[in-house]
Amino acid sequence: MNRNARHASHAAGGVSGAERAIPWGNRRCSIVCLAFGLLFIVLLALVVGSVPIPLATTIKILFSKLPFVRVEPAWRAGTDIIITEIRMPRIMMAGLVGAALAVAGAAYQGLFRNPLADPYLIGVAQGSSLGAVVGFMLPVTGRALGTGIIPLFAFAGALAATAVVYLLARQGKTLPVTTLILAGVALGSLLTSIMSYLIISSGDKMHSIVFWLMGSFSLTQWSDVRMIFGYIVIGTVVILIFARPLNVMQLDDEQAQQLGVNVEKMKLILLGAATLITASAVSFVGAIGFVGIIIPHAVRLIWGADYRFLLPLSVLSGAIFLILTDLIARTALSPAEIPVGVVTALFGAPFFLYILRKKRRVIF
Amino acid sequence: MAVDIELQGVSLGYRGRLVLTGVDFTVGAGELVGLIGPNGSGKSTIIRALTRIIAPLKGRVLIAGRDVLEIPRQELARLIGVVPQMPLLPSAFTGLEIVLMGRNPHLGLFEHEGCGDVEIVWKAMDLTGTHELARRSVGELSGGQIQSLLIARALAQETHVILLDEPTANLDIGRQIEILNLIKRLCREKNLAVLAAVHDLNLASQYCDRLVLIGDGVVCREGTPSEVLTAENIGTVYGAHNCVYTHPRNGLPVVLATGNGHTAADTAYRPGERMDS
Amino acid sequence: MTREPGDLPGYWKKNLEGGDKRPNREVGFFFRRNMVIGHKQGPVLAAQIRLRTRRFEPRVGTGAGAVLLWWLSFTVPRMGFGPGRSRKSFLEGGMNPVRRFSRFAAFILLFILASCSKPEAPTVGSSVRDQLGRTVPLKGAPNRIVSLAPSNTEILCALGLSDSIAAVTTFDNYPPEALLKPKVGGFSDPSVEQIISFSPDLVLAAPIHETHLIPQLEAKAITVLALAPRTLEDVLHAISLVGQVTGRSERAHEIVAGMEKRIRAITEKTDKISPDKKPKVVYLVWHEPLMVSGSGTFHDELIRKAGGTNIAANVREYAFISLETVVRENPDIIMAGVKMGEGRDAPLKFARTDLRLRDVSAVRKNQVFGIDSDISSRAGPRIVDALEQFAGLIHPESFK
Repeated sequence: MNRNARHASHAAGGVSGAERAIPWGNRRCSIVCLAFGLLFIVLLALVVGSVPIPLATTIKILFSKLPFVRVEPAWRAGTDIIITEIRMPRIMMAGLVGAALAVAGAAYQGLFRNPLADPYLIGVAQGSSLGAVVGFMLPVTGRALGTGIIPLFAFAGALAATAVVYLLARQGKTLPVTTLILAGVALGSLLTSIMSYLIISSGDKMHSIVFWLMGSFSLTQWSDVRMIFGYIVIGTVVILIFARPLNVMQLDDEQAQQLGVNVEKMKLILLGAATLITASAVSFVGAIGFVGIIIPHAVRLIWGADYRFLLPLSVLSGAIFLILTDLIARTALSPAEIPVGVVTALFGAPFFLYILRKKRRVIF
Repeated sequence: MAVDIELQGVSLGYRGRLVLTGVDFTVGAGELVGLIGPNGSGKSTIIRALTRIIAPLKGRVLIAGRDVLEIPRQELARLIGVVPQMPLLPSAFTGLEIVLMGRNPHLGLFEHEGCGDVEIVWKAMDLTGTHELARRSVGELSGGQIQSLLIARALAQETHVILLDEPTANLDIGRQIEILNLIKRLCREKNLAVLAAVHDLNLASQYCDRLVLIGDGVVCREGTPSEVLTAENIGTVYGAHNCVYTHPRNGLPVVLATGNGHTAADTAYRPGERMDS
Repeated sequence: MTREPGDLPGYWKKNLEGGDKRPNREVGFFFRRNMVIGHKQGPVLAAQIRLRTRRFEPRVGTGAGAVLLWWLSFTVPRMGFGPGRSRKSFLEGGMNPVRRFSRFAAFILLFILASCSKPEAPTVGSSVRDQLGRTVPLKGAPNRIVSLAPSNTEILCALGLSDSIAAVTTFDNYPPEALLKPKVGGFSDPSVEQIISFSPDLVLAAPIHETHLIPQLEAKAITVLALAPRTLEDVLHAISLVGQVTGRSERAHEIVAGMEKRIRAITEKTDKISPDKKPKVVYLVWHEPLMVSGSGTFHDELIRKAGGTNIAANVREYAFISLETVVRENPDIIMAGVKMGEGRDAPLKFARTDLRLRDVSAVRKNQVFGIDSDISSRAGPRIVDALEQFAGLIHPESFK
């Protein structure tokens, strides 16, 4: 911040004044605005739902949960459960997953230098689905563990699939990204076919599997949020720290190395972090599409390709987008719920196409 | 600080295929050395070895007396700036963002470009005449403009050694002169060691202090332009005979192709006679 | 004995006499049928929206054809083919008003004529109309029947035809003898080859087989009777239809009469209960995500007939609803679909133990029940057992 302030004063007195300033200020401003936007959306999502709860009641309930605050419970029984145990964890989960998928998508796109990359490109989703299906096939349910064994299996499956892809694609000391993508796509198809076979032969358990694979936020509990919170925050912070090297890696590997970036180490770190957060997101809510590929592109269209801004803006936009999408999913046909995956594309795609037409800048 | 490049009996190759053997030459501080040779002779390979992209199979590559294999990558990038040959650039980035990447080796993980860095970047862009490209995305730029940006990026790296791989390949004659003048001036003023792989023998002759001619996997000749660009050397290495003339103004060698088989020593064309016999 | 249209329950009577008045298109999630009738579809993963046209309405078809013809009669000759004429001049009213009116009158006449042409009259005696509106010839008692749905198998067995069943699907689990029958594959994807290999003289199909399987079987000249019951009344009609086609009308009549009597015994009491005395009930089909039975399902009808109020009556079919709706509606009774077997009581466990439902009246008063979903959602004779079970749970004071 200090350096930045000095830079600003310098630029003002510089050769051509504002012309010479680097246009960072307005992107920093956008980050702050989006952060406030996120806060607003969270509040909105708390208030709006299939059951109407007035804003005042919502705020009273929130305050009553704070320590040292005494609020007389003047609301209908169950209202506080709706706010604090149904809506809040759900909003939290949607925000975390949206942020995770968007930032992982941006990181993968940068890592692979490929605009079509999404968080599921190298087998994370397929691995987690297969892991979950295997978990369903086991005779134990592990409900005693709190959230059950399914998320654990999904998480392990996602990480294992990516690890296999990584080992397959590795050539000596280097990791060519094209090989990585191809290995990921091929292994993904293999895992999908194994999964389809398992589903067909799963007999009685098919219901549970099919419902799980569809993904949903509807029954998110605090314990679920607690489980993935750490992973997603740590992974996101790691990716944000390495934004500048990621920028340089947008040149080819050779140039990046000549500019002092340890490309192979960077690939490993970013791949690991992005996979970790994608796996955490997928293991509880299934493979939600669209967010991971479109949010980074939308951010790129609006604010440019510099990863130091692209990544934090993607985090915020992804969280806002998915919270809003989930809000639509649970209120549009209230009290019925629409699977969130349907809504992401239904509302996200037209919006994306709109800015694609409007902005007309070089995208990738 | 004077920094120089030294190659000691270096053999280079890819996956067991030997490209160059026994390469031995130095580039001193304040010196502009041209690396010439036919297509595929290994000019870019030498640049890769100098920047630790590939490790030499034999021999040592020294920068300021230190083996490059022992210098961490980021430190190396503070010593050597590279202008690559027609690279792919991410088209969504702006010119300014590309040049800013040149500051990367000087920044720690949690730092970002401060006012000093920005000043350096703008200076580099002014020197190369690229300041008006600052806000344009790279995808819209011509080959020559990109080349200038890359030179600006290398300058922004503030290194003591600059390696250029075909720095003038995409430029018209005016820009070629401008860029090479700039390089030569920087080389002299800042006492840089500059090694440029040059395709155009005439530019190499006019601007370089010394030339290193490589062909057939070895260094064939090393010396001043007049020593290296002889009809004999060009004939054996390039297979182009009798093309060397003398520049009318400064007496440096000039290499010119002659159409219809007419060559300098061969004013009368005799049908039926083989050109290279 | 052949039933005259007059004997049929209300809805099907309407169907035979004047064509189906129900909306003939439906949009629903794919599991509407298969998931909940106790069968499973193949690995169709996402909630795909299936738009199905059940029957092409002849009158609408001819009406639409008339409109098209009328429009073409104006536009084609005038679309700029003739010299100096353009579509524009027509649109600006280049025709004299009398001719215009006469054309319009001709159109109206044509439309009325087209609309009046009746759909093909049902032939009674040598054939019946099945529940997909298909005409099925009566060919005497079959003895190699292939049943493609568990409910169909239950009806056949109730009619005493278990020995005539040649094959069933892998999902058929009741009565026990069904388990011993050869299988032709799953419910949604039975093997045509297998079915044909039994050279059946009757196949009992379901709506899911309408588009692909039934045409294939018909091409092999195999008699197919499709049953598509959606209400208790439909179930009764389905039973009598099967009775007719298999030559067991009398047995079918007995069963239907017995079921009607049992249903009446319950509805006579529950009809008298005032709406505010009817407990709020929710039927939990699955918990992850939360899926309940809305209107148009057997569960909804059973809850109503058993004297309860379905809190999910404002959503259609089997629908995902938010947990907060359940918490706020505060049902007095939660019914959770369960089945025999490992882990299939998960919805019941969820309803009983999930902390977010702790304040719901049903949980506090321990009114959370597991319901065998094979009985309560299978359109067979046992649906009346489910009704009696529902009534006993909802109004224990009136029904023991």
